[in-house]
Amino acid sequence: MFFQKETKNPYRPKKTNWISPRLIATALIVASLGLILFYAPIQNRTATTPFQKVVMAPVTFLQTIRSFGANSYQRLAANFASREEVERLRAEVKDLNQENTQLRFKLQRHEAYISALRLPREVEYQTLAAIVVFRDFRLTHDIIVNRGTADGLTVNMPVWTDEGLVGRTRRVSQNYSKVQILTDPGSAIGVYVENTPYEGILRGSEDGGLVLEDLHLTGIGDEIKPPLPGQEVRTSGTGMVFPRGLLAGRIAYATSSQGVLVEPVVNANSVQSVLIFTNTGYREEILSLLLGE
Amino acid sequence: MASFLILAVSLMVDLSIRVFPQLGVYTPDVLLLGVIYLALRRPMGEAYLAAFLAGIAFDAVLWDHIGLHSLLYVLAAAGVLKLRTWLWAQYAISRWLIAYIIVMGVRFGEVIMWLSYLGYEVPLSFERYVLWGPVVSGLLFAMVPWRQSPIRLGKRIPQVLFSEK
Repeated sequence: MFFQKETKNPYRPKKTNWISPRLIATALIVASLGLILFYAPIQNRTATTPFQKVVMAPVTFLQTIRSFGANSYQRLAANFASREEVERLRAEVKDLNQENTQLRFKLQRHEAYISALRLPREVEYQTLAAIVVFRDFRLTHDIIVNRGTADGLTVNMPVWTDEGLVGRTRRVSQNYSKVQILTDPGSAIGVYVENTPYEGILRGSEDGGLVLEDLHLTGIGDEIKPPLPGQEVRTSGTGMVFPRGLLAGRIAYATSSQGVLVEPVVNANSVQSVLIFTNTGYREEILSLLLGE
Repeated sequence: MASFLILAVSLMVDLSIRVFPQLGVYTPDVLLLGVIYLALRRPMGEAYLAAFLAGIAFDAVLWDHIGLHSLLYVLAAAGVLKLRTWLWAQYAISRWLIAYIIVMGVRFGEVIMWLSYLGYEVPLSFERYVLWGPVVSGLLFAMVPWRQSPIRLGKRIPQVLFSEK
């Protein structure tokens, strides 16, 4: 227990009031829970009345643990039980890859038409400058900037500097936003290698680097040549988050068994200010290209 | 006053060490170590209050959910007060064990809360963060100078709420 018996502890003063350490701890815990509920994001609230909020807090907490455990078990069970499903999906992926290649071919031809006809296709990107107020590279690789919903920011807005791409907004509050930088282990964006037919997925790694995975050719009859060190890696725009063509990194000289290593162009340790895309015109542009309008 | 000075210094070191050495998941939780130190050396009420304020400051500076770390740090202080009746903190191995258990518990709490808010966007280093990261914090806390005489802390420290001064 937190106390010792009064007879065994000569230092303990006589009880003169009703305040005890346990009471203080309980009050502070209740105060902390109250702060969490008060400042919790509105979209995560399911309860409406104060009573419901107090009741739902521990319930939500337990549900989170329970659902996490259940999901883990289900994923584990699914891994063992769905081999036939995997085979079927593999065949489906193969068909989709062929279809994807054909569509990319059409997209290239479409772009060639646009270039030949000199149609206007430039989108006016609106950006908002923000100052980096803190960096946290402990578990996640995040930077915090001094712009939020009050400035029109939402989640998944591209963040970049003149040097290149930084990341995307991960969480947004009224006056501050957390930006997931490219080197975050949970980051994965679609990219292509400049002047080559290669596309792939650029993932962050735990050591703060970038790895280019799932490299594949985008055109039929392209010359197969591995990406060379120093070549630029740019966003492909297929994820509908980043516009196409933003510089994300350069192929590194070092190699790895996981994939092609890429050097980030923006040093997140030293970046002081960033620009945030606030309009989504590029998404409409991508959609119009894909739909052939 | 000394407690808050310790917390202020711990917070500054904590914030600095997160950025510059680039230790990733092995970054020691210096502020939490300060809370553990106060929970071992100071009266209970002062330790709880210091833990609560440290958590509020941490959440405010790191722009985390306000109240999250104050809750975890108060629970950590309660855990330390429990552990100090079982372990003799004047030994380095005991201090390492205390710090490891407490830091691991707090990090587990952080991850649970992150899972709640981030929509299962679980970082890849989840296990390393919770299980192996606290080892470094424990080693750092084990190096803290301590009184060598083998007196059990639970009976040495006066069980009062706040310092008389």
